[in-house]
Amino acid sequence: MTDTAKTTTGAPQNDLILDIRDLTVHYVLEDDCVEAVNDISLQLKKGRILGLVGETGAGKTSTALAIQNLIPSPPGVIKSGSIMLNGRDVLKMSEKELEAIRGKDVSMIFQDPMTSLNPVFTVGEQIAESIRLHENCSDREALERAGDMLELVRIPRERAVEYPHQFSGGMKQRVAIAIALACNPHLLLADEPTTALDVTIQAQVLDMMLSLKRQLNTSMIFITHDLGIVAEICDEVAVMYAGRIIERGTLEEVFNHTKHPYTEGLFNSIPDISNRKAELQPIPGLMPDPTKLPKGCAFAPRCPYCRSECIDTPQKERMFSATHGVRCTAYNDPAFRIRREEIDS
Amino acid sequence: MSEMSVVRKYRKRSRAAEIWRNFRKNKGAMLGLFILVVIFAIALTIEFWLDKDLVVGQHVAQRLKPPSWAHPFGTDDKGREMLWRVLYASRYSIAIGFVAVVVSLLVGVPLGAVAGYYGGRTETLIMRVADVFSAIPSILMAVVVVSVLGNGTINLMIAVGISSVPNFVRTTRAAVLTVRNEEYIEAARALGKSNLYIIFMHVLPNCLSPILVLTTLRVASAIITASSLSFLGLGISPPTPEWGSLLNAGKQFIRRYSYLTLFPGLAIMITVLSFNMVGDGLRDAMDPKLKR
Repeated sequence: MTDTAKTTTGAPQNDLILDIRDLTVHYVLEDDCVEAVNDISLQLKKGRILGLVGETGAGKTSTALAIQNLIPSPPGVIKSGSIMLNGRDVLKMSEKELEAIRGKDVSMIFQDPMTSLNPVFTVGEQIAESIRLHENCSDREALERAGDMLELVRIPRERAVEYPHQFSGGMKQRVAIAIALACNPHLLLADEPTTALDVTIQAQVLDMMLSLKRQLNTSMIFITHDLGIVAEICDEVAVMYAGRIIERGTLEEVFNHTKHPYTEGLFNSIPDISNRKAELQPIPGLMPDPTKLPKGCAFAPRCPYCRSECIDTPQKERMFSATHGVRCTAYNDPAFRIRREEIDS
Repeated sequence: MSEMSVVRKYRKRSRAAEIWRNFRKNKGAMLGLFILVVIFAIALTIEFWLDKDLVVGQHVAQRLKPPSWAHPFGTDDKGREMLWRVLYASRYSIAIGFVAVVVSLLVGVPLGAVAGYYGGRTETLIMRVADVFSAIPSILMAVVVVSVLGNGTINLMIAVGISSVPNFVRTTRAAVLTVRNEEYIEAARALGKSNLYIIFMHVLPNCLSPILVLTTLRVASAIITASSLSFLGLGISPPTPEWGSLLNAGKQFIRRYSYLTLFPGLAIMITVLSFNMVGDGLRDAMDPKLKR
């Protein structure tokens, strides 16, 4: 966490690996339109890990898919925005250019390792395939490097000849990570990579991802709803709610200087290990129907601090520091504070 | 490090060798393969070692002899040795059955895969055309194709092949639909693989079993369709024997000389059964999950 405190403000643009501006993704159905991602902006620097947090349906996966321009279309439509990956706009690329960057510059780890590997090929072949696809090398070289990748994720290289069903869940996820990292991508999108795994395996996989990040200096977007994981591995955090980023900042800012009532609600719903008798305080209500988002703050109906102006004023992002942005109308009142105390580190 | 030792290191054996190893464990499939090899060997070589006169020459004095040591399969109404006729007929029946199915496989599977994978308008177009084709009875269809292309063995094969294309389109599409939404297909896209590459390298290998089963079944019906066409005078013309036409010729004697239909019938049955057993065995051998 000391690392995060050193974040330099006003870093040069070329340091950014990913720069999303005003991205809006809608799924247009026959009768209505699912507003999955609304006007989000995100920046990520080289070698940093961003935690993207939010409930199911908050638009996290859509954001990750949009970064690779993989939104299924139809029904998905990218309404507006730009996604600069290494200084080039992904949304303006041709299919050929996209194929060239997918897996090479940006790759993705999927949620369920049980289904993200092709059952009819050996794991060695699957890793080698993505290497051969992006780099000019012989089959032999690719297989050799596939073995190296397996060792990198701590699976003996002899097991390259085995099929996915011969591996356990945690090992499959490590194979998926090996495939994703095979071409040294600049950006790795991890879509809840540990959700389908049990806790001990989760710890192993996280550990491994962290050490790989240190070895290869990969930037990562880590999608999860587990704030514990975020605290453990992320440098920066963005909290999504109903397709909007409602609070973003460094790990320190979001965790210790929480500003948004929704983020506060998330923290209140975590069991407290030091006070086992305390009851959890879940956030009341459900996320609004993404086909009928309110004009004002989408969280207002569930918000304990909701004011009359919250309901009909569109939210604006308010910066509390160079990196800490919050979308909450209540801060128009300079006296407004949430109950969660700030912790100075 | 030599090429071989690397390959050995990353794949215990090549994929073909692996399939063969699994296939060998299946006794029924091996039996089927053995019979098919024998039938193919006969079909491919018979014109070199059998005098065609024995097949088509008529010997009225010998007519309608029941099976005996002198005439293992008996003789037909024109005194021709049924053994030679049935063996010689394999040449045409096997070729027609096999080539026709390969034709429909080559046309039907890619079309079905594309329809299933892309969906939308592409799918509607391909499937509606397939519907139109399957609405026409296959015999009628084949009659039309033969009359357009002209009589002849090759045209017969194409005609029979085209009539089973809709079956392959439909089966492949159904199989592709179940596979295309799997996460590993999405993962393949996220790794920058092109759609065509994904269809042929990732989707189809996972759809093999229904396609293989259909293939073995269609070989049988192709042989039968071809024989019906011969019966209508559109296929192989007499006196050249073909299993279907042998059946038809023997039909009028079925009460008193049933061996005339028995042997060609058995030949069709054994061939079809062998194809089915080999197909089943192949399917099992190619599925890595069924390995012990």
